Amino acid sequence: MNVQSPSRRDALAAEYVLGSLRGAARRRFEQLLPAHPNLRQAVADWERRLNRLAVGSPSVPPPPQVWADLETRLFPAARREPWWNRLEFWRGLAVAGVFAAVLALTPHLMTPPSEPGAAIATIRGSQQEVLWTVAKTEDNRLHVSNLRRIDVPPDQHCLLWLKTPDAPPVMLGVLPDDGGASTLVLPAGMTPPAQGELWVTMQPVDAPPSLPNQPLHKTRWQAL
Amino acid sequence: MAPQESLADLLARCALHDRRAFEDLYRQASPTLYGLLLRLVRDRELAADLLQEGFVRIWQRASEYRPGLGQPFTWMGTIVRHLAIDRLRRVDHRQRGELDDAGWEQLADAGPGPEERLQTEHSEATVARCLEILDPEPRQAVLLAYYEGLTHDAIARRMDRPLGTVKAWVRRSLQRLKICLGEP
Repeated sequence: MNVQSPSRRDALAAEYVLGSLRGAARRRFEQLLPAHPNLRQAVADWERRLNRLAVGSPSVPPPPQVWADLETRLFPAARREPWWNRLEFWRGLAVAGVFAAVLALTPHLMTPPSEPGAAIATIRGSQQEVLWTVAKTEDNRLHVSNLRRIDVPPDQHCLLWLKTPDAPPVMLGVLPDDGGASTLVLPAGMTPPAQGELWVTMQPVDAPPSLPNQPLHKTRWQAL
Repeated sequence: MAPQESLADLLARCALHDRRAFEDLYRQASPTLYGLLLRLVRDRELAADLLQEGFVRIWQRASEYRPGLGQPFTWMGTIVRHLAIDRLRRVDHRQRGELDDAGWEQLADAGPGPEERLQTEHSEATVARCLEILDPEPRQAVLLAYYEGLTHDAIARRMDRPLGTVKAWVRRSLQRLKICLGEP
């Protein structure tokens, strides 16, 4: 299969995405994809063009079993009750009643067991559109994704800050503004608190970050 | 009632493993994607299997979605269509034929045609407009390939036209669509 000429690549990619490239030809085409970036680009371009047709299909409600199967498959523990609903918790609490005096001395025993899952936040713009998502990774870094390109002057950049009620904001790092994602390493020794606010500011690239009074955007930060 | 969150925002939250966002996404997108699959494979059970597989991938790959890849439906449509065409490659679904054309029409509730449905979505109106510039027969050939997963051969039989004619229709129509839809 010759994919050297741009017009040939384009024609094959088009029929591949349309679905009319079939059988052995389709298999050969797929084998070529990993080694040919411009062929992959042609496919991506045609997907963007043609798959807009996907919404033109009539809607048919799927059988309810599909969602039930999906839940079982993706979230095997999905039906686990939250900690305050679990029998063991209340049973534990009843036992704890007996040892109330002990408990009074060790209040940390009453803190809920930690649930798996990362802290997440979405930073929204004035139209409620999501600009960035922020997630805490297990090794205490922050994974930030920029969902919409931000119009930032070339000599400026967006900074992310963590603000807790009784302390000045702490700078966490530079936010991607080009639709990409990045991982921010938290300042040494810093553990994000369970609650607080995330602030976004825009500042000159070549000046040291200055403590903001007012953020451009802010959102509540909450550990799940 | 809270305004419906956009599919792009829901996908962003899915990337962060937000199950509730995934449920909302499923509720909003699954009827269209199931309709698309059903039309391609003409078998309710197979379409349901593919829908499940498709949403597993959507969940796992949500972080790969970028607005630059097109509308969320474009991206999700790409995922499920890949699965369906892959399956069609192995099974000649026409021979299984759970749903013939009449059965399909009935299930799909004989609503508006694809072009009329496309008109209703602002962002998709360009596609509808571009389909209109094609002559009726070449347009039908393209739509049969896209929506029904038919090969050139099968389109030729369905439309009772020579294979060479059908191939030329599809090839030229795609080029006309490309010019009309703009770069890329």
